[in-house]
Amino acid sequence: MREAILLLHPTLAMLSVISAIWVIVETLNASPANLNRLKNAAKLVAILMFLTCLVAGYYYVNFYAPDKAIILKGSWKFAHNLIMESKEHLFFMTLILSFLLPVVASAKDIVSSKQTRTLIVSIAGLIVLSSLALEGAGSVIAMGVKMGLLQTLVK
Amino acid sequence: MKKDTIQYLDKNIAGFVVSAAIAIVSNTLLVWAKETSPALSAWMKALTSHHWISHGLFVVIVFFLLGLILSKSNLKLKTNTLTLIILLSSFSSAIGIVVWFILY
Repeated sequence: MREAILLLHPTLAMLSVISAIWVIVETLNASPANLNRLKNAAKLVAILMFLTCLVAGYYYVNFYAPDKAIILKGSWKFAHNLIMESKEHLFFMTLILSFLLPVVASAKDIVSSKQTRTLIVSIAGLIVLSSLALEGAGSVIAMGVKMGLLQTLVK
Repeated sequence: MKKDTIQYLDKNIAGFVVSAAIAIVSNTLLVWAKETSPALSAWMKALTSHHWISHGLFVVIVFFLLGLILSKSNLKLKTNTLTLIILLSSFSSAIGIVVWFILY
């Protein structure tokens, strides 16, 4: 169960990233024909990121403490002290941007205004960039646990 | 298609963009406050059983509450200004968090 939750949260986050890229594509090709698709994709980003928050939060609150202890015993202490500490707080920025995206995608002038399209692409782009950074951070944290375990075995 | 003239975003949407920027910046400020004040961190932990849950709730409530308030106000901001606000707040807040944990 614990491992399933651990694997589920980056999966949901990646699906959210794919949806955000979908929003970018629809926005760059905005026309009256694809507006509904754009709005639905933006809503999907928010829903998937909210689910990511619930699953990741559940794991972090209930299961992360032993991982943290292992990391801090190893040589990759920065995997918690810098990477995890930054990740757990930076995520809230991504979450807020994901909630904002469907609000901005409800603008009535998407097709006619390049500036509104730029705003939507900027928000979606920030979601993609920050999510990818958080995914990378997750890999470093997993590596930190591995380093801690390896060093425990060597001792 | 409109030319690149000055355009204003609908005030309801503009309100939420500004509230998002404020929520994102307040997220970083709360990190700094929590890390420098063990009392605040302990209070946030006591509030919901985990400081991270309290932190997240605070940021999300700031976003939705301010968004509702600002969207009802007569906020008139250029679309390009809003793009700049959201980009600057996001990048500066992210740097603020990472640099904080590098230094402390």
